[in-house]
Amino acid sequence: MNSVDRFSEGKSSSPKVNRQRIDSLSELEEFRKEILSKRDPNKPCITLCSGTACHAYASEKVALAIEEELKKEDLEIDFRRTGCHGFCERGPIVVIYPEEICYLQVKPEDIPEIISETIKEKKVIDRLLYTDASGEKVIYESEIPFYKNQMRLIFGPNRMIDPKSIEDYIAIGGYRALAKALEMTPEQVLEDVKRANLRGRGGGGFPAGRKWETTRNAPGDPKYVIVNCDEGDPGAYMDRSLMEGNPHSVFEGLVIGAYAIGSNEGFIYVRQEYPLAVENVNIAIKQAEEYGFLGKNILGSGFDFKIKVHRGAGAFVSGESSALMTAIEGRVGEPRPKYVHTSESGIWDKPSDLNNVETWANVPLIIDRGAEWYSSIGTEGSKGTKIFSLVGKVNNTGLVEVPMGTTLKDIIYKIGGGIPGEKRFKAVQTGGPSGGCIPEEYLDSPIDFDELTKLGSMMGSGGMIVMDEDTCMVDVARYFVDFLCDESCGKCVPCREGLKRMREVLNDIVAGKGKEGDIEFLEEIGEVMSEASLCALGTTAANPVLTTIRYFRDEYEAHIREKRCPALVCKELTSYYIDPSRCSACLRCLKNCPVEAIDGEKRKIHVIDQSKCTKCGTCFDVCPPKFSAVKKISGEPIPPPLPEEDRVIERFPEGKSDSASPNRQTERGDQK
Amino acid sequence: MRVSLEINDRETEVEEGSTILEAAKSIGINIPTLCYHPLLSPFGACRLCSVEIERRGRKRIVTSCNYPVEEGLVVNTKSSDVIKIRKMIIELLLARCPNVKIMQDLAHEYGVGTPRFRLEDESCILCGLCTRICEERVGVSAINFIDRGVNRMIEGPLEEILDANLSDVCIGCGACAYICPTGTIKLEDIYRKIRSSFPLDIVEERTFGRVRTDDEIFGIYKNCYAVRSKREDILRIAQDGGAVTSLLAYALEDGMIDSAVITTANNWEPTTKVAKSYDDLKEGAGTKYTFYPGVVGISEAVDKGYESIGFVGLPCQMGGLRKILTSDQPYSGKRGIKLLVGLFCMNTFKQELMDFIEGKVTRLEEVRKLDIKGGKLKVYEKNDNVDQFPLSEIEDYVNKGCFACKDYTAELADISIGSIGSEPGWSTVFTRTDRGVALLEGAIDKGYVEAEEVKDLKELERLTKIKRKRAEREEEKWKSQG
Repeated sequence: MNSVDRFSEGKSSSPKVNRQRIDSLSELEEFRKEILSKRDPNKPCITLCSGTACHAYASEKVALAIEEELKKEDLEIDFRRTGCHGFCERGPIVVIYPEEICYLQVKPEDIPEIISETIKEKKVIDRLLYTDASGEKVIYESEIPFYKNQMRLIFGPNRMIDPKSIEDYIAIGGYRALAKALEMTPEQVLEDVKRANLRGRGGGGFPAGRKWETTRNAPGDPKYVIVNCDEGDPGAYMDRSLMEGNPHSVFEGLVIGAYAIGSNEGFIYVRQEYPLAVENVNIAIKQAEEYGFLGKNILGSGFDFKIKVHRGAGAFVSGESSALMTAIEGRVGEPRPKYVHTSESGIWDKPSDLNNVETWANVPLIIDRGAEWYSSIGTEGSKGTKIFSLVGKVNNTGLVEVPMGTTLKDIIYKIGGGIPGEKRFKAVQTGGPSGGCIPEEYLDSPIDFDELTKLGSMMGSGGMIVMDEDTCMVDVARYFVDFLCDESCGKCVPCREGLKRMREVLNDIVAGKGKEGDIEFLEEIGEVMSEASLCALGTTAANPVLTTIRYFRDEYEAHIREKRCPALVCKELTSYYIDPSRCSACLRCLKNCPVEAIDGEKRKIHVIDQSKCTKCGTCFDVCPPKFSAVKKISGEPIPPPLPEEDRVIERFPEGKSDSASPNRQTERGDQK
Repeated sequence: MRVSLEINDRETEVEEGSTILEAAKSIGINIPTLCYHPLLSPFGACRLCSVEIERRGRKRIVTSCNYPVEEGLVVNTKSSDVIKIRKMIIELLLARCPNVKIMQDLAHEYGVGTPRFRLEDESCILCGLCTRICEERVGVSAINFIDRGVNRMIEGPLEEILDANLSDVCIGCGACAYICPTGTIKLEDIYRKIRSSFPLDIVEERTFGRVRTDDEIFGIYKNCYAVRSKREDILRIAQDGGAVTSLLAYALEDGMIDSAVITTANNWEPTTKVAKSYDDLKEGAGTKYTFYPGVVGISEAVDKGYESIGFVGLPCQMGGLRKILTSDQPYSGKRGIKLLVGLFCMNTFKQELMDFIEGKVTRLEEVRKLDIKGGKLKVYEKNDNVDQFPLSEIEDYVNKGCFACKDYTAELADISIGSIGSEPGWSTVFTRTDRGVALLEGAIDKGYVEAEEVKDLKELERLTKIKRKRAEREEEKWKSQG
């Protein structure tokens, strides 16, 4: 069949099997076989990553080009638009089956060639392949180092299925775990999840099984189960990619949990800023209801369960469980005291179990493959895998899933490909705005919930921002505090007023107005925030400040005592200066300076008028590397400009000029 | 069930479900609070009431206002950690509001000097008492927080532009001003705004089916009588003719209402009571001249499941309630309120008036009755002594907000009652709606009260005009002030 027409309807591209309502595990297995029997594993299939990140890289246009080309060539080929593959640095990603040839950064204009060469002629197009640092090409997706070193249990299926097709999910074994669970008793299911020691992936790492049990045993009816998809950490998007790319896996986990807890109603709280996730979730719910995985009498078991989608209106703090539940009640999403846990008294004061997207997606694996298998992965205290959002100053940004216990170094270097531009690694920030910055000396730490907490940071939902030597840690702390100043709900005094005052002190420090005692003052404020704030946002809000002080105290001290920003980031402490010994009066900086702060002319060494300079850094960026005459300096006086008469350059033949060209005067210039 | 716990090395036993704060209070241990109020559900925002608890050998900091007691709990209300936290909170809030008295007092008490932060000049500490009393007790949610994080603020009556209307649902009850611990919300501002934006014509049209004519100086009414209770026990405690108490007693007995929200007083500090019986009603007898946002009592009656509630209140309260009852706005008391009994009122006083009396006359426990008549405040002591003060002497205690009010005779009530216009020992009564007429006629029939025609309304007319003139002058003043 021709697959083109499906996009308008969100129907499956693969041969559709007309079969509805599945009533038992055996019927499900039969149905799966039926789907697979109609799918020829040797038939070519083109998959295109269509997650939000690739969408931003215009994967939509690539899709149109593929559809058009297939139509033109009248080819009987499957085309599947999948969810996020994770290697977002190099999207859009096209994988051609059955060979699994992987093309990166594909553009619409590459499509005719892909069809004519790879599909028809079975030839690999070299220029679209992954090239490693040594220049070697990699043909298959699974052999790219970024993927090779991961264990993609949760995230792996994303690349195989069209999120808008429930049959794709069933074909890879989807809903088998649910069917199995429904043939067990709720107690057995709960026991399995407890034995697997599944811990919540949303932040705190609380054992999910224990939480379920609390809700199960709490008096009150109805009981609710909730998917927290209010991911709001800057730079983190694993929950979005799961929700967009494989919503059924989340539902499956949710229904299993609901069955174990004794809940018949669930909520999916998803950010309105995730339109594709909202769309795919709604389509998936409809399909799951049609097939009997949701709704009345699920899989003929007599168990009923329905899901409502609640779209969040963009508040970071709404990711906090009690705030999220308040928002579902239709009120402003503000945290409330949790001395009585939400698992006992949550939405409308009813027992409510909340877990995040990734946690729920782990559940089917545990039921399907067993608690023993599951708990064989990971560390003593943290089982299974964790998806990290690897971003910042790292070569391969993207979503990374590794077993608990993998070292930071393996993630950043083996998978992430190290730091770009031969810069030095400085720190990695984990856990989002509530997390902390971990320095180089701890790169060998195996990461899991407990280890990260020990280092003063936290797992959070899995954000991982890599920072290189050009990053000022005081500035980083200030960035997160600034973020939280806006994103705190503002309800409790320590968090609201504490953040405001931390920002005040940090602003002073980066502006060169820091004073002795500021560091201790920050620690004092931070300590009270950690102890006395109302919710987890507040009690962790000082972490970025406290960990940067803990590991990079010298940077704070340099700012305060020497008025120096060691990373040359803080504007007010940094100046731009043209080294006369290196300037060849090329006019480049002079012409590009937006405020005309640079004086000079042809054959006259350029000088920056510091009173006009806004420190935008344009001169630094445009100065040709062979001269590198523009310098950033901090904590030292700016050398005075050369006397007018010494600024003239005895011109060597044009083009030959190198650093040696303006020679004599320079020595004097260097002497200050 | 009782739960025993230990607070500052003292054993105590309290009811299960109590909070640590309540338990501490019960044995006289004071814990400072800012966002807590016994009328409201705990909020846990100021964190000032933080205490240290120990459970299974683990210490942690919790807020005492909302932490439910547990068997065997060990509480320390003044450990070094607790003091450190309180001092920082006070320093943070004092830096925000350096000129707010409660913050200055707390800073003094805890030895917090000049804050190490840059001083701001806010007056609101964002405790949320106003928003909660409006939502939980008044039942209209006319005031709320807006924005978030460091930009969080209160919207509603804090709006500074004078001619900006209050939220449509505001009934001007003044509960927010009453509960505000910093004086940020002033009764005066609320009253000015509610008066200058009050849609009198619309409310009259909806209540009486027409708008008053220019010569209806007392508003729209059907009849006017001098009324006196026929119950000896009521007359003994009554301000004048005991009309209010007797009419309500009849309404309760007849089934016209199943409860009445009245204002009582605890040592001359007003509060409300949901009266269900004749005896309950007698607690409300006698005029309390200091301000209390009595409408907060209605939610209590609603919460207790009463379905036909009578409410006794001042002209401003009649106006606010009538406005919301005749509108489409949501209000928790909407279905329940069946009878509005209005009292004549020139103005209310601040609670400080009672301090004045205590200073000048006697302990408040010894005061039997207060009465303002003929330009004098009379203080009747239980020992039958009577002191009197010219009103000029208590001018400073007048709620200036009341100057915005033009309504002396509770023109929007079902029935309005006051002393002016009748002989001593009698009350003047206006019946305004059919319900008001039915109430009075029924009470006469059943022998609760007797009524006579009112002979002379001149004094009432004079006072009504004075009040209206005063309001008009005020209005001019604000307008000229821009």
